[in-house]
Amino acid sequence: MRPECFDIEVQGEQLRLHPDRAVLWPARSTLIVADPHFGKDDIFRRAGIALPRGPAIADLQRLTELVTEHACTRLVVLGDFLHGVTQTGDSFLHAFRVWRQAHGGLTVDIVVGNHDRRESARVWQQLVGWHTRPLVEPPFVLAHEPAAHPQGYVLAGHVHPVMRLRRRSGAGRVPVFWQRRDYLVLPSFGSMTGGANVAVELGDQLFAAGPERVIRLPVPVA
Amino acid sequence: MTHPAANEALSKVETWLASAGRTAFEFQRAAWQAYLNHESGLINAPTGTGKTLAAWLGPVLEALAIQHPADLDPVGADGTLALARREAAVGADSGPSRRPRKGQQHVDADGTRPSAPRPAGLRVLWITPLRALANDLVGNLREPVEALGLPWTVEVRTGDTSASVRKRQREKPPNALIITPESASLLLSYASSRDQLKNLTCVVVDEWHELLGTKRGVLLELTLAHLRTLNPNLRIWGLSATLPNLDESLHVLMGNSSQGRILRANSDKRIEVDSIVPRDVSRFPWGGHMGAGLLNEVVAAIETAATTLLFTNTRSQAELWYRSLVEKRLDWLTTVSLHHGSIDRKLRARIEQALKSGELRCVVCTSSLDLGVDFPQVEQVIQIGSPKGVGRLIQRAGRSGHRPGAASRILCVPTHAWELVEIAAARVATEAKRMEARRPLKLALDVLIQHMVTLAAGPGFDEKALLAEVRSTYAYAELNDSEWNWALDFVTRGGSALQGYPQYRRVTRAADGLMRTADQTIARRHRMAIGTISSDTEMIVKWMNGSRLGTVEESFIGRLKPGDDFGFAGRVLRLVQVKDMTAYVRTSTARRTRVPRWQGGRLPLSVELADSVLDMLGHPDQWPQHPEMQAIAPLLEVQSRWSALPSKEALLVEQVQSREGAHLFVYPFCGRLANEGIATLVAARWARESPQTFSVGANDYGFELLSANPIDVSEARLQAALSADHLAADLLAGVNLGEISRRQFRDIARIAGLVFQGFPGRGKSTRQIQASSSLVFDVLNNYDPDNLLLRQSRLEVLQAQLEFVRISSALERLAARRILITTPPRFTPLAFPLWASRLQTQMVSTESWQQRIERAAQQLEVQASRAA
Repeated sequence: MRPECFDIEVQGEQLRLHPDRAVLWPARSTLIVADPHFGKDDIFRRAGIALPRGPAIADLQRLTELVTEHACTRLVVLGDFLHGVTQTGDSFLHAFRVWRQAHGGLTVDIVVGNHDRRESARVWQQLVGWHTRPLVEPPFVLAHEPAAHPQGYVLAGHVHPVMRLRRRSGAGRVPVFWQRRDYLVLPSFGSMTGGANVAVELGDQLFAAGPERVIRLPVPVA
Repeated sequence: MTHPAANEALSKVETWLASAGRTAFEFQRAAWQAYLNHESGLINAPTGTGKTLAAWLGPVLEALAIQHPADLDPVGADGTLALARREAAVGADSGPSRRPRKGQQHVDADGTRPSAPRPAGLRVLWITPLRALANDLVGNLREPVEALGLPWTVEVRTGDTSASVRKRQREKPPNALIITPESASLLLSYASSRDQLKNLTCVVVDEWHELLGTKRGVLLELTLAHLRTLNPNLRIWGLSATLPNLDESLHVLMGNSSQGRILRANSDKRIEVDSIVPRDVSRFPWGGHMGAGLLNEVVAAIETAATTLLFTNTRSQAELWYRSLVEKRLDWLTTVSLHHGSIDRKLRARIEQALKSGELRCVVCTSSLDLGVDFPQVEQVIQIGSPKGVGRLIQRAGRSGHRPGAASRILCVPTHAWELVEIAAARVATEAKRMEARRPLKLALDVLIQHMVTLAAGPGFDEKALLAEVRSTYAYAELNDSEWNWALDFVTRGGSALQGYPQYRRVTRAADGLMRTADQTIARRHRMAIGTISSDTEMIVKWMNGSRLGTVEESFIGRLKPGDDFGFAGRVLRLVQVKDMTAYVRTSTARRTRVPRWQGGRLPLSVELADSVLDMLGHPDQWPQHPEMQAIAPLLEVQSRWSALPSKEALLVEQVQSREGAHLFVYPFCGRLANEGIATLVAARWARESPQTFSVGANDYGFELLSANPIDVSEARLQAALSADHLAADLLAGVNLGEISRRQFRDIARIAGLVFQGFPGRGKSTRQIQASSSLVFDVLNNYDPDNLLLRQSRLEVLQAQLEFVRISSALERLAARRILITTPPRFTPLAFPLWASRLQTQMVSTESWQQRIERAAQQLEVQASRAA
């Protein structure tokens, strides 16, 4: 089944919310994701916690499919690209180098998030655009942390928004896109990331990212 | 050992006891003699009958005899002095974990003759399941040691003991150490432990029946096996309340390495089971479990006794009863207290102290006070609601009536009409001593993995030697090679060799050929995690100024928003913020609030008690002897007029039609969990025959199936649905196994070290390696589906959540019964509570994620439009 996106218009630009927890900006052929937390399993294994390799590879595979299917020329990561400081020999480092070679034509821009901050920029600058400040690309500002910005409407990550649906329905917690007056928060892209319940206020919009479809949720506020 | 020195020491003990107006019991003498003969065993005695002395004086006598036998003081002459010393020692105990040295030195100086050399090394390990018990035990163990002039030191070591004291204890151990199973395991994780523990001559396991059947018990089995390896002559003594499977429980304690004997205290304490019978049963509810309807009668009962323990079955019930009592009697505000497992330990200790000194009129409590030191002041025990099990009733009743010869009396308060039958049935079962067995656990790989890493962090291990040691335990006697190899792979490679676990490091082979932890960080983190077997994901509740109130399950706090009110520790609190696993609160003036529901609060009715209930219902000739049965007679009359009374001869089935659809009520009397399992089984089998959707609900007596379409019920069709063939497969097909085993996996992941929780206050340093067990569960399911820990979670779901064994034996018994199908005009007294409390309802459903989420969205829409 072909995944169904949900198109929204923000600041006169069309944004396409993808069920794979990504945003497409068709006018710029750009794919935007937030918080993949790559390399998390490497860090766990090094610390003696037995998580198998696999989720990171699958996440890279999802990136490949998104980029290919929507003919994107550019990928922007809104922070927390990595889970923590990498070390020589990490399986993700190797996998990403291979991936980067395979997608040489793709521009990759990474906005540094709090998890990326201690990583050596020099290593990554050879592979991708490594930005320690938000990218201002009118009408948007591409940032890690969601907060109003004087130079534009912010697209951000950082909080891993999820919404708890009533347990009776069996749906549990679902990742959501959280649209507010000043910013849009993307759900975390990484499959090994948790989430925080969103504190919804009047005027907010929520879009649940399911396996096959993005569904607009009514906002339950009094 | 029967040489003169031992006899001399024995007579000292007798003289000392006599000077305090006591004499040794036969089973105590037998236990001491057995110990001196180098035997191990199990002492079966109820609390308050001298089992502590029975186990403790063995090693004490031996030490007395070995030490200069001629040099002992005749103790009888200064019996009063011994008592005075005991007072001093108890006084010094109030904070043994904080400042043990002061009291210690004082006692040493006082009780030791200058010429007597202090014996070196740890001789006795006293293992207790409850931290709260440890501090009281110190006094009890020190008393005879001091009175008999043995220069032994006795100390406590639990999770509460400060790091500096623990370090000192490692460097210069006391002669006897009181310790929890987790802290005992922790001892093995230090390389230096080997030298200390090999001096050990005796391990006493207190309240062994509480550990049997739990993973903490399994961990202890492994620890004991290791201690036996270090010292093959180690003597192990268990102390246990009465269990029907005492022989098995002894066997579990001893492993396959040695023989032990069982010594029974000859106690025939009478137990009286009374009840408050509602005056008008027709106005008494048929269901529910809070039961504040008899509040006035309970208040009156509390007034008649100086001190009352009021037991409830759940923490939320305790909170509600506490609030009802103080609202009813404001003058009791300072003399009624609340005690349950989620209330902060310090607060609980204060309440226990006040209980001991007789300052309290009543303590509302849960199983938190089932165990522990005796409170001689307690005159009355009240049980709110069914005790659910015979053993539990006896244990609770035993908290009163400490005067010699006095009966233990328990006053049961039914919370709904049917509990009257349970009380009468419990009385019969108590008289017949039909107690529940506790079945030991087997092959828990998570605990084995934890133990392997513990040893790797400590002295290191040799695989072959460790395998033999592990197989010497009851729990792992049947561990096969492939399971062992998998566990070894798990700690060394992360998983089976074929899976991808690059750069995994936890346990590696060191230069000396032994298996050790890869580095100190891993060892340190493992030690921090050892204590987590019993704890759930709990949040600390603190005042804004930082002082602690207790703990609440994270899932409860997760549903609250800052500003919400909730009832806790008998107060109404307002949540201010949640930070670092801590919920900060302030007092609230709200009147109606939510009360946390702690998990695992509701025990199912035990097999033994359920049988007694069926027996009671089937034997009207016994009813006149029980006031409860007389009171409930009108209800039973309605039940038999509309339908029939359930009995052991026939399985009762009721068919009722309502606006909701077709209801089928079936009463196997198997306890809530097993009934739910049987219900799911029947629903799954029928839904397979022809497409149909059932709502399923269950309680301790039976279950309900509800369908929009008529249910075709015949005896043959029911018999087929209740068949024990392909039980496991059909059962698993019916339940949402994924979801349940995901929940079960939480504990497994924590014990095996797959999730690291971090600790309140130090959360940040480990945040980077924290992941929810649910996430780990998904990752393993997707990328390492053969992981044996996943298999373990499925097995545990079958055993613990669905009570597979109980279901299968119930089905076998049902096969021999007639099936009695009735069609009552409306919901019968038995059916009503099932219908009314369809809270546990689960749907046997095949909807997709898409459908579920769309339905949830619709529900939200309705809510939102209502709010607008």
